[in-house]
Amino acid sequence: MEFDELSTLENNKQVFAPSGPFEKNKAIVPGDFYAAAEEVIPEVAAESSDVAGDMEDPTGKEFPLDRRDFMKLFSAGAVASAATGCINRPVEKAIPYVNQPKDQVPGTPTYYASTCNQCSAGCGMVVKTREGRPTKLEGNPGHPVSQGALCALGQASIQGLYHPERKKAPEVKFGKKHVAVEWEEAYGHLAKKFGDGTKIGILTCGSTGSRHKFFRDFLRTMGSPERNLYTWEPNGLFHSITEAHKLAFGVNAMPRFDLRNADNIVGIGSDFLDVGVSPIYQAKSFSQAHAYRNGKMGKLTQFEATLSLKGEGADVRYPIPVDGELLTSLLLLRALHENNASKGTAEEKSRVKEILDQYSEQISNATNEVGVKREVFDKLADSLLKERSLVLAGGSTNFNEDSTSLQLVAILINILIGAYGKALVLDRGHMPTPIVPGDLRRFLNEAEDLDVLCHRYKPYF
Amino acid sequence: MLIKSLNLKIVLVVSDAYWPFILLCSLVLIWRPSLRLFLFGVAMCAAAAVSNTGYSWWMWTPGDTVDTSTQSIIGNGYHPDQPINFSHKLHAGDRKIPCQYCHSSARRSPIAGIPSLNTCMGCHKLVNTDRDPIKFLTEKFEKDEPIEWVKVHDLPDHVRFTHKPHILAKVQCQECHGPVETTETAEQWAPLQMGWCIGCHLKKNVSTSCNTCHY
Repeated sequence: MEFDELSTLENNKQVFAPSGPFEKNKAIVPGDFYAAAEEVIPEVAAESSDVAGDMEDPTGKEFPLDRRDFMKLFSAGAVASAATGCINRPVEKAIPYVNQPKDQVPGTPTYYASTCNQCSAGCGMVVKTREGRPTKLEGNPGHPVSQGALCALGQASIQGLYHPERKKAPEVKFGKKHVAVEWEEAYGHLAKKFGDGTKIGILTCGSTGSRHKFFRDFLRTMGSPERNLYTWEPNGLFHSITEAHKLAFGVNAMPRFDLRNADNIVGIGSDFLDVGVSPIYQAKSFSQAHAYRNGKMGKLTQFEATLSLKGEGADVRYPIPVDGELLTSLLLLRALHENNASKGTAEEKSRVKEILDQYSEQISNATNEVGVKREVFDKLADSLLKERSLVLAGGSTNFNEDSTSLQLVAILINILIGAYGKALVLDRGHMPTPIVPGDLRRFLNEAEDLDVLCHRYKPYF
Repeated sequence: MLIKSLNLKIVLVVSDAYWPFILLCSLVLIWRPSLRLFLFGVAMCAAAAVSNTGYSWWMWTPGDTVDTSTQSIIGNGYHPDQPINFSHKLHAGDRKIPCQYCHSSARRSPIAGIPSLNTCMGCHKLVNTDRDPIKFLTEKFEKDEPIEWVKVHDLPDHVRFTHKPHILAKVQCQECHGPVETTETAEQWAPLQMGWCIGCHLKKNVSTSCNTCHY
């Protein structure tokens, strides 16, 4: 193929179809084939034979068998033994069930739908079981979050089930020693500890199902107030995002980041492809957003301190200092506020102005600190307002005192670019019952007076 | 000379388990390669394997093995003793109970499945409860212990035979398992060798591709 032809391929959309112009290529004709360098350069052969002559074993000792003789003798021995050996047949036993469960057919796997609990996303998964034992986890194709996929963490969680160090019996701690006991004994210890049951607290994670209702029912039945149920997530984003939405909108909610509805995505220290709020859902929707569709490709601009998976995949990446996410987002907010095309009501804009005034001191130094020019933000603001866009801020592991402020600024940015209702959806979200904002603080204040039951977590504080 | 006599002694002593001898012989060979010692070892192995009583050194089988003096084990005719003498003639022949009433997983899964104990107890809670075998069943059922039947039809692990497609293609049970309804305890009627499988597949004009059964 001529090089001139290549330039036209870009406009020809049939190129990537199976019956494209590449099929018309000439068959590849192999060139001359040489088995060894000696065939091409006879000098090499002469040299190498000299070298081999020098390398000969001076002792003259050699293994008395060459490889062929060894194979002959060995196979003769094997055949001689095999003639008598292979007619042994073991007595095999077939042991059927005593009571065969209704959903088990011997020899065939049974599949159950379940929820992955490796991270806070709560992907739907299908568990393959054989004779009642889970053997493989896969994403549930009918589940809106996982859409048939399951991340490496989720796939590997089956190993936790069969881990040799997994607790097989309840343990009671006497002094520094953990002693395995029977369930009855453990219940006895618990009952003694709880007394009249009015001071019980439960620490748990966000849930996709009816778990929280069960815990509340338990607390009510035991005589403790229902508010003693505390939710906590190791993923910092759950806290900061819910807290910020509570402050901004007064709702206990976690928005769903539907990246499919965004052509222009900006990440400020975000790690939505690595962990984020829901890795599979975000990766799936991002692959659609970033794909070639409607005649153009989606764009991802990333501001981040350390190179992440998402930064590598970004179209444009700006390095910023560590903990510079808040300043970066404030600079972007200012650029959007100064742009005439920005969306949002007059009241919202006046709120933004208040905040920008409040932070004016930091913003005046910000350009130097962040190390990204002002024109970059102005241009970015322009393109964000022209296209369907979304700004994601904050990483799941960056959990500090600024996290909630960062999310608040991100909310304001998303209001100004009109992302709410399009790419940011406040429906039931990834989790019907996510964590409740402020629960962790409440827990730290109140837990000392309570007997706390910890579900999934083992706090060291 | 010393090593050779040592080898001989080991062969004579451990004539039932040759692997330690092979291990030693190989170690000696690695230490001091010698063709004569190697040939000697191979000859000893062959002799020992020919005079082998239980199992051979290269294919040690755990557990019991079938007594070859009373049982034919290549091909058909394997007819082992079972915990109780379950009579197929009585159930399938005289009483005309359909095969898949008990072997219900045959149409659903790769294996026909020896019925679970609750399948037996479905009838025998009420039927013939005074007979000894039924008492044995009831006792096992109450103790929640499974019955260890001896597996009769056993294919090598590299064959992926499945009952389901055969049943769905309306192959009769008797075509492979013989006249079960006239025999007492289970017996291997067909040779279950590959040629026998292929013969039927050719006759019925179905796939004989390798990966139909080996995949």
